[in-house]
Amino acid sequence: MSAGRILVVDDEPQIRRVMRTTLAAHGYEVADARSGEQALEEIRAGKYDLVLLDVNMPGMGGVEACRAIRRDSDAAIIMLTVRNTEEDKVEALDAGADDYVTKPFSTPELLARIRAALRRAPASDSLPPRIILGKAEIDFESRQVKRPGRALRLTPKEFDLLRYLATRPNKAVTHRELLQAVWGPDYGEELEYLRVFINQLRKKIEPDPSNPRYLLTEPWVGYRFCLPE
Amino acid sequence: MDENQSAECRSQAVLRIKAEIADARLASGGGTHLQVNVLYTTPSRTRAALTIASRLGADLRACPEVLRVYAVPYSLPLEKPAVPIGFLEEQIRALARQSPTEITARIILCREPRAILRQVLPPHSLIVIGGQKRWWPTREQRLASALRKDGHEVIFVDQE
Repeated sequence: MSAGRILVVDDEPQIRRVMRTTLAAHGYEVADARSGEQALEEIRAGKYDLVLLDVNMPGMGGVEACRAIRRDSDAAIIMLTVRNTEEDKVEALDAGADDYVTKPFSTPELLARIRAALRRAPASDSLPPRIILGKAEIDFESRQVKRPGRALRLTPKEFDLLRYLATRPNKAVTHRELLQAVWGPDYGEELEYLRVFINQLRKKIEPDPSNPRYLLTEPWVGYRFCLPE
Repeated sequence: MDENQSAECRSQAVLRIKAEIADARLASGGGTHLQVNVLYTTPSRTRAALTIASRLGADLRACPEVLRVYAVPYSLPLEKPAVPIGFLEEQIRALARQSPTEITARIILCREPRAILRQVLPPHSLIVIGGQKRWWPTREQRLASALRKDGHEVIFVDQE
């Protein structure tokens, strides 16, 4: 059994070859793409657990490709780049990347980051395609919340947050765990940020956002998604 | 609110600045009317707040708006503050030039900033304030706390 399906996206054939060999040797099923455009086609055609994405590519750059991938796929994304300024990291993580690795990197480090990203990735099998919460229906496939007479679209971050909580029903998830799972490893202390997103979600899914029934606050701990019987 | 105060508010000079577009992401992202309000404090603190607001805006498909509420002393006419409006505009333009996303800005000249904020901010607004956190609450901390009490969602960006 494969440890996960990985798509390597890099314009340099040598790097793609080395990655393929290394990752396959560690039990991963690997495919590659030489550009952002090709990566998008690959992702639309098949399901991947993780994408290793080079930032500097001709045509559609890595950051742009990352945004486009994030719109279509829930796969974990690790950006690979020689640039290591704070702005570059922030831009990549904001574009939807889960992690950021600076070249040159060692193989054990990359493998560890892949394992960590795959651990954080939601267990998609345990998530039903839709959940009914009172009059609201959350469709995880179309990323929409349907309420009588209207459909609300969740932003990628709102969706990631809701999905992470929904895959752990009736379990208190800590602020730090949520921040790191949804926003990436550089986050952990931004409780106000998390609160804003939870409130936005409550406005979309709760019948009465000021008295939540499904997205509950666990004081001093985090949040709990209370799945109805 | 008494009649005089109400008249004062009606006569406030409100100015809207469309800042330079550095990134068209939000313009094309659209879809919701959520707004992230950044309250102007000092240039550096507002810049820090704007960075967080831009990130938040991108994640929530919302547009950041800088709100500068400028108190004009009662000794001066409301439309003629001690500091020229052009200077206040230029300060915001300088911020907009450094902002990673498109922003809009409003400069409001008033007598009572707190009262005006209650009028211009819709209920449950999302507000970002840049300031410094101290054990003895700073002006920005007190403002954040008052806005929270009014029911707004406030993110305080601590600029150490």
